[in-house]
Amino acid sequence: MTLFSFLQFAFIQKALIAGIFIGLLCSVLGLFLVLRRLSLIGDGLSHISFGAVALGLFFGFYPIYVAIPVVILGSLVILKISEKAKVYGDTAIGIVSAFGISGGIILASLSHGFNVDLFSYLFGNILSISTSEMILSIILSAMVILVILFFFYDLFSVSFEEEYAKTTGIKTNAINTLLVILAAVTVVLAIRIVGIMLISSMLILPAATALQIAKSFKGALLVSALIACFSVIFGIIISFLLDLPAGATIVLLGGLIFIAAFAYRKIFS
Amino acid sequence: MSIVSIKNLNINFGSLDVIHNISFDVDEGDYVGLTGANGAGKTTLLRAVLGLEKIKSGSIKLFGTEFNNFSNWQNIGYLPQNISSFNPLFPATAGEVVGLGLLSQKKFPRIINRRDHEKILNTLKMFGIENLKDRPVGELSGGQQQRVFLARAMVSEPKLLLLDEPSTALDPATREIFFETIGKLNKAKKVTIILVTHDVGSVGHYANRLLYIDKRVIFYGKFSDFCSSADMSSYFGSSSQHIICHQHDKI
Repeated sequence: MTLFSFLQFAFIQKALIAGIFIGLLCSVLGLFLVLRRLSLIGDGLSHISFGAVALGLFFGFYPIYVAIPVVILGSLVILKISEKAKVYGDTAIGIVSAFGISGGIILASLSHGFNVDLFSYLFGNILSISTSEMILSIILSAMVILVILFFFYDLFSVSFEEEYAKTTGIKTNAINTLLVILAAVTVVLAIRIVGIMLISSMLILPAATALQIAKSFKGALLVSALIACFSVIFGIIISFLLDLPAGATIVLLGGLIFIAAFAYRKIFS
Repeated sequence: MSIVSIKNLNINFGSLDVIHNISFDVDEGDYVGLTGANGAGKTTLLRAVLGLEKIKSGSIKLFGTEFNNFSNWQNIGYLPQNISSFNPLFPATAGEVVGLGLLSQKKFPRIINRRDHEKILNTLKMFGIENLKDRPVGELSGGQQQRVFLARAMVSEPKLLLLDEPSTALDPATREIFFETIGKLNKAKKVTIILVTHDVGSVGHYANRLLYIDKRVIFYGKFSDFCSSADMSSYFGSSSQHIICHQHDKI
């Protein structure tokens, strides 16, 4: 087998294509979330998606189709709690994610049958992605990236200084709502790559790494996107060659790149 | 036409009366020094003009339009009080930050184009900071950041400039240049300015009108009238009034 002969396998091709799209999406959206100090929303939404996937499996629906509306609803509830109740955003995330996890555990316990399927969503496996899942990932990722591009400067301004953004006529509440909805869709899409347990790291690691070395906002976006693509491509290749779990390998590679970028900044700046 | 017209404005923070029945008008070309003691409601009043505070009652008109119907945000430039409230790790360059001031002119989808980049560069030049264009704003000194944020407020060529304690992060020399620049904008470009400051003694040096508040309007008029006002003499005490006006004379 030559060095790149594994690329002839259809499952590797599908994994790479879907992974690159979702990785790009996570890296771009993750930068906005990290800069708005909303990194933990990825964790909270992944916990909700756990409950949503369990709900889908319990009633015999395709879990991702159930997870998308449920997680979007959860993201809006987080936003409303942090706006209306006298709590900070992280507390609102904690409240809503508790419902997701506890609901998922109860459904798994009641079903007695789908625990194995649920575990596959907990840890993900992009190498087993189907053609229809790949197409769904591409379409939804492209749609979310397009929305981000259309609202790029609105998101940039609100992320930099929300009150000032309001004085330039930007509807900041609408932009905040848009951001959490996009985060919800992204989290559900990333379930198949890295699993529920590691989704937030797909959002955080490329962005956090880019912040170590980038000197401009557009530069940070570019670096974040490149790091995500690199992690996904080489994570999939390494996991295939060494027979390791793909999601964990992608995330671990992302973590190592962060350490390298951190060391680079400490040494050279 | 008044640029800003406020009628019977009341703002509460819970049970606390912060702004009590305030009314005043600011005309085109005015340079108003908005001053008062700590907790007098200066910043709250300025933020109310921008729609950043929820008002209990009263009306605010901007450029003759009721606030709820107002949409010409490109006519307003704003320099917030706490410029350091942004995330210092945010990797935006000075040029990118100034560009955010142009979004008020844009319709959806908002895009910064090549002509906008020229405007950004020209505005940075106006404040003598074009060399900072590609520097991350979080790495700049307080005075440099202040000028970047002022450039952001000015890049859309607003007709009304709202400045909230703009000189706090500046050293005396930079402060002098800053006020000189603002004064030129007011005189040469007829930009209407409302400047919040706690320094009542020096504000008359820059502004042509003084608005002194203590939750309500205590005085609104020319600084010279403030110094000769018997009402102000009884409000402040004649010795305090003398100190304020003497400090102004020395400047």
